[in-house]
Amino acid sequence: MSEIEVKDVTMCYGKHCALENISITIEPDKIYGLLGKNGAGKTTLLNLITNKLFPSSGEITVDGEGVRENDNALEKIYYMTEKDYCPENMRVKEVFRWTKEFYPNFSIEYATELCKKFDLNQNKKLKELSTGYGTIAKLITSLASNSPIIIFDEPVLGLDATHRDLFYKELLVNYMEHPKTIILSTHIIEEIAKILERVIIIKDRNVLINDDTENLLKSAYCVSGLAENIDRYISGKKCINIEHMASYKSATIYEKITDADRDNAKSLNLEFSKVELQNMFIYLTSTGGMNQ
Amino acid sequence: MKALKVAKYQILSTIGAIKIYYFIFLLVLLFFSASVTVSDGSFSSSGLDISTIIFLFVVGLNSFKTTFFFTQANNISRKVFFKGLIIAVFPITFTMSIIDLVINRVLNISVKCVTTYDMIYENIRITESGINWTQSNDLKTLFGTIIWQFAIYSAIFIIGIFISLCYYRSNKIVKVIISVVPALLATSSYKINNTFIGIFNINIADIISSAFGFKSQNPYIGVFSLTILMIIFSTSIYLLTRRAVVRS
Repeated sequence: MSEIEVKDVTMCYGKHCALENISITIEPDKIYGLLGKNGAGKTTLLNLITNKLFPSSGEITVDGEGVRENDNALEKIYYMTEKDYCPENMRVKEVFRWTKEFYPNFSIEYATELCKKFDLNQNKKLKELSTGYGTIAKLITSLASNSPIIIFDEPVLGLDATHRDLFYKELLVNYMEHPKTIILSTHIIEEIAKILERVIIIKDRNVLINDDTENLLKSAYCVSGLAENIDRYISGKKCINIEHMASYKSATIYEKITDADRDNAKSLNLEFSKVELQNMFIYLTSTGGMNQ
Repeated sequence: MKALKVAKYQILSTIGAIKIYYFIFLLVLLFFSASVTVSDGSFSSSGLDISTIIFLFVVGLNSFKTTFFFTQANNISRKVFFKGLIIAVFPITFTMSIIDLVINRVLNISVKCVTTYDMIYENIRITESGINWTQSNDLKTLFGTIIWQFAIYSAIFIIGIFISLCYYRSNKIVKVIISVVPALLATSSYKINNTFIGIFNINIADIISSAFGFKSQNPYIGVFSLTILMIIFSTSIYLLTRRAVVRS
């Protein structure tokens, strides 16, 4: 059970600010999706949480302890970085052996089992692995670390569909057997949507959304029908996206459906449908988005 | 203790390079010894330990980045990384000091091989017929050689780490400055010394000579000064590491 708290954190590189006054609480034993467009500041936030970067202001704590140069707090987190930080001459089995030195709960047996499932040769050097297998080596190390908090930055980079599917399954099995806090930062939202319990969306250096996935998806809906009827329906509503198809239109409304909405839609012969997380993300983070 | 684990990683990742170094070192020595036997000529060598000093400087230069990245991959704080990195220096340099002494004494059975320690702190007379000197194997010399070599090797290793860290933390302009300034100082050291004598009546060369025990032929003064140097450079490494971030 480990909780991360980010309090009023600002991160500036010279005159450019990557994050501004961010405050979020990452609850223990939940699977989080950290979403944002390229350059939104996702990796910066993860680097701040893991003491790789120092915030310009604010504080980050794990179970109440500041992470800044604090090994007690840092050893609770395993961070699978997008970049490769292990020496390229190191063999996969050596990576496991050394990770066990720094993460005593690391399970060599579990790592070996996962290597078999992913068909990864432990005797290979990291530089001999393809991009996909390099990612697999990092995924296995992360899962086998048995840390109370595991952070994955771009966990499926270079993975084929079979390996991606296997990873999601193994992640869920691991989570169900040993509940832990998991943060997934990825652009492949469609695939992870089903396993996320909470979603954090970063936009314009700030946290736009930090909510339960279910709540977030319930907070918007899609309505479609004849263009003129849609125009009448959306008037005065918080519409975050409109799509045209000949004389038909489909609009995404960022509001909950009320009984009055249902009656109105019925009279205008409109149909309601659910919004997918990926579409929701696109609409909210596109120019205008929430402010449209 | 995590620092010891970092030190273990650092030592184990350096061992390969050390093995290759001694393999080449011994191969060169064997070549010269064989040529002496074949040609029946004379061969004497001095300061072979200088090659170890150069080797350790290069190892120091290569020690920072890889280990720093690896410790960052394992979420280890910079202070633990610093401790591990510095702790790793001493077992390596102490072992190499002993190995060098053993190689030197074995070599001295067939050829005259003066160590840097002997040249600085022992009485060696160079005559027209060659070096008038016999290698001393008393406890004082053996102990002095090991300790002095250990100190100089450690200081050089730490200076190597410091230089690579300076480059790592610097932007392009500072990199040029820190590359040019030491070279300028080295080439104009004679002029600088004369200027100091002229203006302040201070002879820097004399100060260095006294600080390292050249004048008094006391190796332990040298060891003391090298220890001070190690502390200064280690502190500088700590200060530079405190806010270092991973970048390619």
